[in-house]
Amino acid sequence: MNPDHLVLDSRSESAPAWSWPRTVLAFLCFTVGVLGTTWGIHQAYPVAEHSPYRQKRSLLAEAQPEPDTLFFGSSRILRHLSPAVFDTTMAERGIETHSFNMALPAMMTLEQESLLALLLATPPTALRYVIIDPEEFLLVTPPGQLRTTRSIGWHTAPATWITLQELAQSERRLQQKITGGYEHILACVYRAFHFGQLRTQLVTNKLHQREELPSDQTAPSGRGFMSLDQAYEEATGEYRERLEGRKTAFRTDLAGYERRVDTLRQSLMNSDGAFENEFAVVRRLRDMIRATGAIPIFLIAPGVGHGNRNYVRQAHARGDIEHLIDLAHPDEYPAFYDPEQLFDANHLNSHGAEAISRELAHKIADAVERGELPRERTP
Amino acid sequence: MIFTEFRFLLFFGVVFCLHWMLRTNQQRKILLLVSSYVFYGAWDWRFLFLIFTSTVVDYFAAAKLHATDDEKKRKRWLLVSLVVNLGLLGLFKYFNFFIDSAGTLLEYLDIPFQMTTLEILLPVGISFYTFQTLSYSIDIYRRNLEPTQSFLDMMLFVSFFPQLVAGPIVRAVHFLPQLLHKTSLSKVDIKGCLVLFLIGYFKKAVVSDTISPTIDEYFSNNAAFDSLAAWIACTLFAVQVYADFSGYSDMAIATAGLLGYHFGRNFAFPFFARNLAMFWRRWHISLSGWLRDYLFIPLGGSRGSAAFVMRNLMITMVLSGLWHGAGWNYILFGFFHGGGLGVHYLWRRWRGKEEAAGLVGAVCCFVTFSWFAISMAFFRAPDNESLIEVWKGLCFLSSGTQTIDPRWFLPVAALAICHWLSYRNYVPAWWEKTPTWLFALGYGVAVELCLAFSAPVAEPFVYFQF
Repeated sequence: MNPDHLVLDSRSESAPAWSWPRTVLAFLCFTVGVLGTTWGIHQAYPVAEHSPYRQKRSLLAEAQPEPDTLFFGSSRILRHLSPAVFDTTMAERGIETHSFNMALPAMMTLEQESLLALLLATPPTALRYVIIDPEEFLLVTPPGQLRTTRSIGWHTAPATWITLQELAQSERRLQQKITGGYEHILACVYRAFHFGQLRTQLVTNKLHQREELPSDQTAPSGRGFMSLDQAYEEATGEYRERLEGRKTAFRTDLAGYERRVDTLRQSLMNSDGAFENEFAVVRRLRDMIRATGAIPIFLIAPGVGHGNRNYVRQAHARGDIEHLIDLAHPDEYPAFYDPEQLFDANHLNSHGAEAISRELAHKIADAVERGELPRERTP
Repeated sequence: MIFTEFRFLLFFGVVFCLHWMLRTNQQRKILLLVSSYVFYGAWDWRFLFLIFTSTVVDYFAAAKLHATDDEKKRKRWLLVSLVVNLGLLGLFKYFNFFIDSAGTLLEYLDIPFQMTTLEILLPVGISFYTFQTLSYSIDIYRRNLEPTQSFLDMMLFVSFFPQLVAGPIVRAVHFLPQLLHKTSLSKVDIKGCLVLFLIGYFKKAVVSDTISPTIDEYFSNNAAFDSLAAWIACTLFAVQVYADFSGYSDMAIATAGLLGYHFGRNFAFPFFARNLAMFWRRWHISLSGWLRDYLFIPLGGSRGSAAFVMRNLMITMVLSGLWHGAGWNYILFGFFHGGGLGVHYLWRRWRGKEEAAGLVGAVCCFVTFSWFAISMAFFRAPDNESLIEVWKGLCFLSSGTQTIDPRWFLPVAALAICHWLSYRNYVPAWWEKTPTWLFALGYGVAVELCLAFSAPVAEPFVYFQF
C-alpha cells in the first residue's frame, strides 16, 4: 500500500462512471466510519489530561502536610501567592493552614473550570478554602497556539460556545474575531475527533521522559509557587532571554505602564460589559468548590494587562458569590502597582509577592475573626 | 497554509468543487492560477512578484530564443533566463552566505572588508520553482520542447499550487501538454488519489511529527547525550526527512491527481537501495533527475576517465547540497555524498555492474542507509560545535550520559516492515476492487485513526526551508 507503487494514471474504462447517488452513499459511509471510530476511541481512551495538569496534581497529592487551602488561577496567582508566607501569616493570626499553589500560566476562566473539575473529582480530604482568581474569558494568542493538548482539553462544545459569544461581544477588530473564532472552533473540532489523543496516550506519554512544565512552574520546594524574579535567576537560555526581555521592556517604558494603570482606573468605574454566561460560569466554579466541602474565596489579583474583570465584581454584587477579595485597585493598594515591587507590568517581584501573600492572609483572617468565614472545615 | 492543516482542506475542497463545476478548460486554468496565487500569498503575498518575474522572463526569453536560429542570440536569451533566475535565487538565498564566508576568509587573511548582509527573508519554494522555470528555458534551447503560446499556461506551470512550495520539480515537457486538453472527473482515479493523500498525511502528521520532538531534543543539547543516542537521533532524522518529504510529495501528487493532472513519482523505496547511486535515483527523483539532465550530463557525465567522472559526481553533489541550503554544512553534505558516489563508481569499475542480492544485498542496503543516516548530521546540526558533538557520538567518543529511549525503534521497525511488504508487492491495491461504499467506510476509519495519532499543531515541512 505504499505510494511509491501508486501510479495515478487515468482509471480503467471498466470502472463505473461518477454518479450523485454513489457519491452521497460514499459520503454517508465515510461519515459513519469517522464517527464510529471516534466513538470507539472515546470509549477506549477518553480525553487525555494535559501533562502539566498531571504534574501539578501529582505534586499536590504528594504534598505534606496535606493541603487544606488551594490557590487557583493564572500566572498572577502562580507568581504572587506564596504558600509559605500565607501559612506563616495565618499562623500569626492563630489560624493553621497548609496551602498549595495550583495555578498555571495563562489559565483563563474556562480552562480553570476544566482543571477544577479534574482536581475536585478527587480533592484533598481536608480542603477548607479554595482561593480562585477567575481570569478573562478570552486569551490573546497567536494563531496555532490554541491547538495544543492543553487548549484542546478544555474546548468542550459549551466552553467553545461561551468563548465564541465572548469573542463576538468583545471590542476586538473583525479580523481578530474571525481568526480567533476559527482557532477556537478548530480546537473544539480537534477535541471532538480526538485529534492527537492516541498519539499522546500511546506514544508521547510513554516515550517522552522530559517534563513538559518548567521546574519554576511546578516549584515543588515552594509548594507550587515561585516568584518571577526567582524564576529569572534560575532560568537559562532562551527562557531567560524571554524573561529578560519582559523585565527590560517594563523598566524602559514606565510612562507606558503608568498610562495602563490609568486605563485600569477608568475601567474600574465602568460597570458594563458582563453578560449572563459569565455569571453562570462563576456560579459553576462556586458550586464545584462548595461540593467538596470547601469555601470558595474569589480573588482579583493586581495587574494591568488583563482587561477588567468587572463580571466578578458584578457577580459578587448580585450575590452569585459570597466572598470576594479585590486587590486590583491602584488607589487602594498602591504598593501592588509600585514599579519597585514589580518584575514586569503584570507580575510582582519577590517583595511584591510576599506583600500580597501577607495581605491576602490578613484579609482572610479578618473575615474569619468577623465570623464571615469558618475557622475549620465545614463537614 | 500547509497540506496537513484543516484550512488547506477547506481551501482545496472549494477549489476541487469549483474546478469540476466549470465548463471550459480555460475557466479551470484561470481558477487554478488564482487559487495558486492565493495559496502562495497566504505565506507572504509580497513574494508573488518574484514568481511573476520568473514567469515573465522565462516566457519571453524562451519565445525569443525559439524564434531565431542564430546560435549567438539563442545563447544570449538563454543567458538572460539563467542570470535572472539564478540571480534572484542567489540574492534571496545565497547572498548573505557568500558575504559572510568572504568576510570570514578576508578577516582570516587580515584584509579589511566592509560589506553588510541583507535583512531578507527566504521566499518559500524559491529553489523549486526556479529549477522548474530553468528547465523550461533549457529544454527550449535544446529544442526538446516548443514554447507555450499561452501566458496563462506558463503562469500556471510555474505556480500550480500542489507543487509550488516543495516540489516535486515538475518539468514543462511533462506538464504543459496536460494543460492543452480538458479532463473529465470520471477519468480521475479518485480512490487512488484519496489513498495516496492519506498515506502522505500519515507519513507527515503521524510519523514525522511524532518523532520530531525527540530529534529536536537531541540536537538542541547533543553534548549531554551518549553515543548510542547519536546513532538513534541520526537514524530517526533520516526516517523523519523521508516521511516528511515523501509525505509532502504524496499529498502533492494526490492533490494534482484530484484536479486531473499527473505528476511523476518523487520517491521509489530509497531505503531499499543497495548502493548510493541507486539511492539517489530513488530519492527526490525530480531533483536528482534535474541535476542529472541539466548538470551532470552537460559536465560530461560518466563518459571519460575515472578522475573526470568523479569530478563530475563531486560537482553535482556539492551543488545539490548547496541547493538545499546556504551553509557550509550543506556543502559538506554534498562532499560526503559525492565522495560516497565516487567510491561506489570505482567499486563498480573494478567489480562490474552486477547488483548484490540476497544477504549481501541486505548488508548493502544497511550500509547505504547508514551512510545516508549519518550524513543527516550535516543537515540537522544547528551549528559547527553541535556537528562536532554528533560526529563524536557517531564515533563512540561522546562523553554525555543522557539517552534516547531505544523503544523509539519499535514504531520505526513496524513502519519498516510495512514498507518492505509494500516494496515486495505483498500489499495489493485493495481499493481498486473494493465497492465504493466499503471503501468510503474504511477510509473514514483510517482518517479518524490518523487524526487520533496526529500532532495537534502541524509542524512545517522540513523541505520548506529549501
